[in-house]
Amino acid sequence: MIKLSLNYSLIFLLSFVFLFSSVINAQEAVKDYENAGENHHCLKCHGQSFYTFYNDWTELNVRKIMPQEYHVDTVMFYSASHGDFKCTDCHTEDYKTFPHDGGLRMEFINTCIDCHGDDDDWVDFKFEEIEADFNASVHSPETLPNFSCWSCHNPHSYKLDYRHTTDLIATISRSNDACMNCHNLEENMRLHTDEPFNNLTITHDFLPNQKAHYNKVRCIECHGDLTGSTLVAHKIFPAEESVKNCKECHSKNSLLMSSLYKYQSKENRKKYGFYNASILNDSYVIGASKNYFLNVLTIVVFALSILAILIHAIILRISKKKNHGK
Amino acid sequence: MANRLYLYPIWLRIWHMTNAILFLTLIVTGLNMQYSPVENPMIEFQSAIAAHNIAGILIILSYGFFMIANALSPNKKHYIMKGKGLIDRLMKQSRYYAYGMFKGEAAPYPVTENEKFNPLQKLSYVGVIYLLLPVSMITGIALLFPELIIHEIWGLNGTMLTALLHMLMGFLLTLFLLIHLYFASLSKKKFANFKSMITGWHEH
Repeated sequence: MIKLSLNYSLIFLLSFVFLFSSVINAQEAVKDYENAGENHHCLKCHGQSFYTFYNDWTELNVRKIMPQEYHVDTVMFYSASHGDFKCTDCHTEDYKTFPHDGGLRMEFINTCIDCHGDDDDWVDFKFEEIEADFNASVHSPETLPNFSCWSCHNPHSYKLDYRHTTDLIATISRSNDACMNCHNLEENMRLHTDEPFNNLTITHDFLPNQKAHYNKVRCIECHGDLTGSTLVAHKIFPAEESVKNCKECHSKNSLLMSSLYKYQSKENRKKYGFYNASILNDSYVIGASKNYFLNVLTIVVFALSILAILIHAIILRISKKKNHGK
Repeated sequence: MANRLYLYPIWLRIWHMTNAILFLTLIVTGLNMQYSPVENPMIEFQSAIAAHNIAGILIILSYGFFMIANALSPNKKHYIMKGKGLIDRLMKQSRYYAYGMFKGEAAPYPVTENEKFNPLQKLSYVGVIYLLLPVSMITGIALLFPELIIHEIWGLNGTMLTALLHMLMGFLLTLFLLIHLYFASLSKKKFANFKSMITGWHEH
C-alpha cells in the first residue's frame, strides 16, 4: 500500500515538474514576442481567415473573409526573421484606424536595401551586392516593374533558412516554392508579366527524373549566377542562359559545391576520401559523388588484371614455340 | 566432323549476343556518366542516361528470358555446381592455367557434351548469373526509382550505398568480361570459340 502511494507521489511530482516547466517555457515564448500585444490590434483580424466588425450604419456585427493577400499567419510571423517587429514598423500608423482609409493601400513599402543598406550590422549579408544582382536579373524592376524583394520573400513569414539549416531538403523545398509560386501558378505570374506561361514539366523534359531534381536541388542552382560572392544567387538568368549541361553538376568539380553546398560544405573538395562529400549527406549525384580510394583501387585492380593477362599470353606464346620446337 | 560438338543452341546464341551488346552499352554509358569530362564527354550525359536505362531494362528482360529458357532446356545442367571435391577441381584447373598449359599438358577437364565448362568457368558463370547480375539488376532498378530507396542506412546515405553496390557489380562484371574474352581466345584454332558462339558448334 505504501509502495503504491509512493508511486502515485512520484507521478504527481513528475507531473508537477512537467507542468511547471511548460509554464516557464510558455512565459519564455511570450517574452520573445514583445510586440505581440500591440500587433494583436492588427492580427485579431489579419491573423484570421474570417474577421468580424460592428457596422455602425446597419448596427449589425458583420463577418467577412480575410482576403489571402491581407492574411498573416501569426505562427509563421512570430517565427520569421522580422517576427519581433511591430506591424507599424513597416506599415503606417494610420492603419490603426478602422475602417482603413482606401488611400493607404498606395503606401510605400520598404524593401530589404531600404533598411539594411549601408549598415555594418548586416555587412555579411551583402545587401548591396544582392541589390545589384537583382537589378541585373530577369526579375529586375526595369523588366518587371511590380517585382520586389517581397515577390519571392514573404515579409510576414520569411526567415533565414539556408545559413543554419539542419534539413537541407526542407530548405530546398522552401526555396523552390518561392519560384514555383509564380512559375507554376499562372495567376500569380500574371501579376508581373504577360509573357507566355510555360509548363515546367515540358520545359524541363531534358531532366531525367524531374522529381528527384526538384526535390534535391534549388531552381537557382541552374538559373542563378553562382559567380557572385553572396551566399544565395539573386541574379537570375533567362532560361536560354541557364545551365543545361548535366556535367556541370554531375562531375568531380560539381557546380553544386559552389551553390547548394556553398555554406554547408565542411569537407569541400578534399583530395582524399569522397569528393564533394557534403552532397552525400542529402543525396547522391552521379559523377560528383566519387571516392578517391575507390577510384585508385579500381584502376589498380583493372591494370593488374590486364598485366596478368598479358604476362599469361606472352608466357603461353613462348612456351608454345618451345614445345613446338621439341 | 567427330571433333565437333553442338553445344550452343540458337536461343542461347541469340541471348549471348544480345547480352554482349547490352553489356558493352552499359559499361560504356556507365563509365561515361561517372567519369567523362565536363567539356568533352564521349556521349552527352542525357543520352548516356537514356541509353543506360534502356539497356538496363533490356538486359533484365534478356536475363528473364535466359532463366526461363535455361530452366526448360538441358542446358541447365551446366550451371549446377557439385560441392564435393570442388576445391580439388578448382585447384587442378588453376594449376593447368598457371603451369600445365605452358608445358603442353592436356586440359584436365576437356569439353564434352555433358560438361561444357571446366570447374573455374562454371564457378565464374554461376557467380555471374546467380549473384553479380541479380544484384546489379536490383540495384539498377532501385537507382531508376531512387524515391524507393531507404534514405539512410546506419547513418549512411541509402542511395550512395545502392550506387556503390551497383558500381561494384559493374566493375566485377567488367573484370569478368575481360577475363572471359581472354580465355575465349585460348583455342587451338584461331577464333574457334568466338565462331562457336555464332555457329553453335564447338570445335576441339
